[in-house]
Amino acid sequence: MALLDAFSAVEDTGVAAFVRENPYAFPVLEAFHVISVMLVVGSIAMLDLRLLGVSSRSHAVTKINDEVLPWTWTAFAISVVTGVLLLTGQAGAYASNLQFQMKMILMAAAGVNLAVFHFLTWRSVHHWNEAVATPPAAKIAALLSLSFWIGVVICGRWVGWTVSASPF
Amino acid sequence: MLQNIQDWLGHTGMADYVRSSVTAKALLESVHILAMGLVLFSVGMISIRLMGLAGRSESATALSRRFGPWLWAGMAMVLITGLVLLTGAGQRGLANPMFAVKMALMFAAILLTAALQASLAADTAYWELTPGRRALAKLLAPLCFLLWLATVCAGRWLAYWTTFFPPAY
Repeated sequence: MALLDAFSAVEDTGVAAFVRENPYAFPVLEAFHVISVMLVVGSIAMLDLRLLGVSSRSHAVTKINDEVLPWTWTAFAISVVTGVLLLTGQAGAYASNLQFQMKMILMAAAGVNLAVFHFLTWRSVHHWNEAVATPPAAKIAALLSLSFWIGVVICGRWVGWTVSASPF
Repeated sequence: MLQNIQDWLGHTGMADYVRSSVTAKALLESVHILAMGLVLFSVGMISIRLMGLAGRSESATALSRRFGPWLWAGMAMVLITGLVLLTGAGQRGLANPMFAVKMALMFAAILLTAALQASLAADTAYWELTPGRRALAKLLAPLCFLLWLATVCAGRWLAYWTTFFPPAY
């Protein structure tokens, strides 16, 4: 309950009022949010597809990792900032929205999956860097990553259709 | 509060239809967005390679060929889901002035992307042969990416067209 109160308190800030009242604030923030989410998912999908042996098979996994991650992290940072700003306007309504809650859980799951992959599986990357067939742990991480991020996009889009009483 | 609204809606005859159609719309739009993610990232990679900012370990032609299938498969998915969405678009469809803006930007983006890919397929060094071409590549590559970003913006703003095109009266 304390969390919901905190979300509601966010609605009283000046930033929240600006997002609610300026007619261009929400559409512009939303466009940047959509673009950055597209780039997060599009870039991370390419690494996942390499780990699954589907794409860029003749390239080292570390090479694909290096070309993808600057995009992923830059876009992720933009999506978090724009996402937080977007929800300030009616933070309470988002916090109690089922699809929003599922989106947050899926993002957390993607984070845990990333941490496990990075700190455990990735340590042996030099053994399978050039191989088309990566170890099962890497393939599972890739499948989970694809699933979680696809779920994040579906839930995110769904929020727009289900969040209650949009006054602006 | 959301639960109350859902409970109330659940007792109206429209409930099933609205729920299923909103779900269908959300899912179609999600595929539209996911496929566009492949397009944006692929175009982005080709653009920064043409600008000489990254991916120099690989020829521009090889990189363009590597991302080509994802770019155009994504594009095909975007067009298919877009057409299906259009059938149920109502105010967001053909009558929407923002839709014309989106289509104009999209056609420009597709043409420029195809032209850049075709030039790279014909000659790896095409954009490096003369100083003029090098300068042009540094202009056209980011322009191509920006046209795609603008297309996405116009797409999202279909829902807000009255904000961007206020009625004259």
